[in-house]
Amino acid sequence: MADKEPDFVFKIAVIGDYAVGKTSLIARFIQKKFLKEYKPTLGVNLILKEISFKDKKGKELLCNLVLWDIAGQERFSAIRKLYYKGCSAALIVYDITRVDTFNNLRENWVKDYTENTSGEKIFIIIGNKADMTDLRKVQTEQGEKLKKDINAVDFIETSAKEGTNVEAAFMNLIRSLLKQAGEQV
Amino acid sequence: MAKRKATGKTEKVKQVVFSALLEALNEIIGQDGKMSVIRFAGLGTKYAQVRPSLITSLPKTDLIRLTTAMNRLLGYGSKALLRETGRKFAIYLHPYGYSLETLIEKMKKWIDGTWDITIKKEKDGFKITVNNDPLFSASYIWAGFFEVAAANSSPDGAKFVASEVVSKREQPSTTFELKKQ
Repeated sequence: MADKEPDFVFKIAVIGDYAVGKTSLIARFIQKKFLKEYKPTLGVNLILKEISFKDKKGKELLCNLVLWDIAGQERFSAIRKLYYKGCSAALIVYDITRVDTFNNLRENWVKDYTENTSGEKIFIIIGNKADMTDLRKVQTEQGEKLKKDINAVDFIETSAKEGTNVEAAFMNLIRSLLKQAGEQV
Repeated sequence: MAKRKATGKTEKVKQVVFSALLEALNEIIGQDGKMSVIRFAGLGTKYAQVRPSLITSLPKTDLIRLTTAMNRLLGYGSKALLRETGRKFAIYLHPYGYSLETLIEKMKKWIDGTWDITIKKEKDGFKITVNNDPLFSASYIWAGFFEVAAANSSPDGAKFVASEVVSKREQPSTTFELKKQ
């Protein structure tokens, strides 16, 4: 744990249908490992990660990310609204091999998040399981189109299993948050 | 480290306080949320399931670590959840509802140390000061806790809203006002 007080604290929600790989993405980002077994999240997983980021002038910015990995199951939908309060941004995840997870992203998750948070909405859309090319049901272009439709700051396809683009997804989100806060990054 | 009494014993907290707080966390943020807080506090898996015992005690330092972890993980942007946890905490400490005064008396017995709570009755509620806070200045948890305990004391079933009015970190002490809704 760093002794220095953080320059920024960001509460970030990681949301999407069950089993799209939210917990696996976080494990890949934080622990650099892949969780082979699926274990549904009960309530919420909370992780605090300290990240230092250099701005264009080389000044170091210390950010505390409080990641809220929120259960995707329907039975948690009532309490979930309380979890969104105070969120600075969201990573909204779908599974490229399951069309329903993509449809729910637009119809449920984006709506749920925007209705229960205040201020400017910053979110990134993630199409996970990009390594499963043979089983792909959602095309990259569909994700790109959705990004434009809902005004997300980014769309990126990831593979928590292989580690592809995971770091980039989180770092892009932090960069957007720092820009919003007026930092030159 | 917990302060030591003149006897040289480490300060303790009755297990019932831990079980109520952890059960409250479990209800508000789920099993994985509760385990996240326990892990962040650096406490072992024995805290995954704590029985509500009035005989067994656990180190007070562990309670401080737990509430500090709650503040670190939930304190930013999730104060409503901390307050809800405090409300559930009071309920789990006594599901049938002790009055404010009784619950505070019991808390003083259950948590070792030189800490203290004073209650002053006012026209529309109470003014409560927590000195040497054993919950490590977890003011939102206290706020929810007092709201439930004050409602239990109310003969007409009135609801109360607690707000922090004075906070002295150096001492440390926190004063809350409880007003009838």
